[in-house]
Amino acid sequence: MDELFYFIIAKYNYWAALVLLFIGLFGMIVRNNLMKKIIGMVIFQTAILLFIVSIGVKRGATVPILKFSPDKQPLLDATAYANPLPHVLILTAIVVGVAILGVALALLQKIQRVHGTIEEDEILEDMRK
Amino acid sequence: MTWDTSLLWQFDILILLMMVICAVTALALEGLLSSAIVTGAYSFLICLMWTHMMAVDVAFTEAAVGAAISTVLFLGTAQYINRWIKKERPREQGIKQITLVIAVICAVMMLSATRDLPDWADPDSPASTHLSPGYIEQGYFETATPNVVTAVLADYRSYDTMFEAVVVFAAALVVMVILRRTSHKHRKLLHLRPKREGRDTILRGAAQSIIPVMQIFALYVLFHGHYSPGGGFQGGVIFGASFILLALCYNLKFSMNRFREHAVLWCCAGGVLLYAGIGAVCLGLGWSFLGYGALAGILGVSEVMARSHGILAVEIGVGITVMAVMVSLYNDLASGGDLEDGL
Repeated sequence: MDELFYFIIAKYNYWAALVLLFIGLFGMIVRNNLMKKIIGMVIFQTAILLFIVSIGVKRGATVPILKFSPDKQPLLDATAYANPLPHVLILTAIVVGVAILGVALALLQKIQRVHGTIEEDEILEDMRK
Repeated sequence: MTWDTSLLWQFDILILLMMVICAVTALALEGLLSSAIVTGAYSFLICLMWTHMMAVDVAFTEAAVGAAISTVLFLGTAQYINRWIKKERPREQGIKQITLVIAVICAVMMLSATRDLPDWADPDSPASTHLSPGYIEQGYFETATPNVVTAVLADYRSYDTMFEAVVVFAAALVVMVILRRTSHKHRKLLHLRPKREGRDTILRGAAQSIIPVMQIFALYVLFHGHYSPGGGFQGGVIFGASFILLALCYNLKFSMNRFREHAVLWCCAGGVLLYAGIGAVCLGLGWSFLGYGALAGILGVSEVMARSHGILAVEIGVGITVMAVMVSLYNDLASGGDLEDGL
């Protein structure tokens, strides 16, 4: 029983990321409304980001900002701080993510303006005319 | 096998469950506005998750970008489109079920592969023993920056950050190119839309008292990024959000009078130019591109301090670009590119 418990505790974060990944992907494929597809894309993206940040977590570690001893010397023990590298990659990815979202929403507004709808099947019908 | 309880797995599982529920709800809801709001809640939950995973800089960015700006952009678009989804047609069902089966099979395959991943929060995992200890142990002596994330972001991986800023800048331009109309025949439709005068006294009073504090806080976040969570991205987004708040509480005309479109565009380009310019100065002084140590002679400080100042300078560049891009994205998306009337 304990084995199973430790197995779950050691992996649940990856599982959550994967479940979110497939929810996002599923939404992107089956929803007919283009805005729902964009929301699916946002969820897909955050699932990947969640996975990458999960890799950098360390048990018993604190935020990656150096602490100082009273005589102004930094405490340099790598196991005491979370891995900063995934944080850097994800931080910039979030800001690029909002830029992608902006472009996607702009395309959406343009589609609405041209076709008068953002439903995928109606757009296809409109294009065939 | 012992488990350090400092990571509070119960709390994690609760938040992750709520995130999954929010994700499903956001995709399942029919109304555009309601799913935009649920997406905002989803962003807030993932922000909590990141704080808990000790990624404070990431959480800060997510709180400013995901929970605030993205939601406003979604709402602006939803208001522009302003219609409800029709009932989905029955012929969709077949595709849906096949997709569901394929997605579940792929998910099960990937879930079984997680057995080979290192345990979550394992300090001895390959990712945490290879490169990052070097950043943590040497970063302070090479860049005089206690916040390791800032040091890696703007010094060790500054090429990355520069091109991220370029990508954000390009996105603002693309949105503008897509949405601006050159012909004036559509413009007469604009008068049919209800004009918002923004006479709400309480909102205006609140905005008047919050906006200056927000802007000072944004500058603090930007300039204190060496010592605390924060930096160019977060500071820039908060500063941009203050203009968006102004546009929400008054109207778009008002905020665009305060921060004119020409100024926005100059800021978009100027931040990137400042970043690349510092790199070019370093190159001109015989160092590598963005090798801030070159600035030691100009600034009259040691090489280590020069790297610290170089980080600050490029963070300011990133901050200016990000601030202007957020304002530009909002202006275009909330008004459908006409810049006439906002959300």
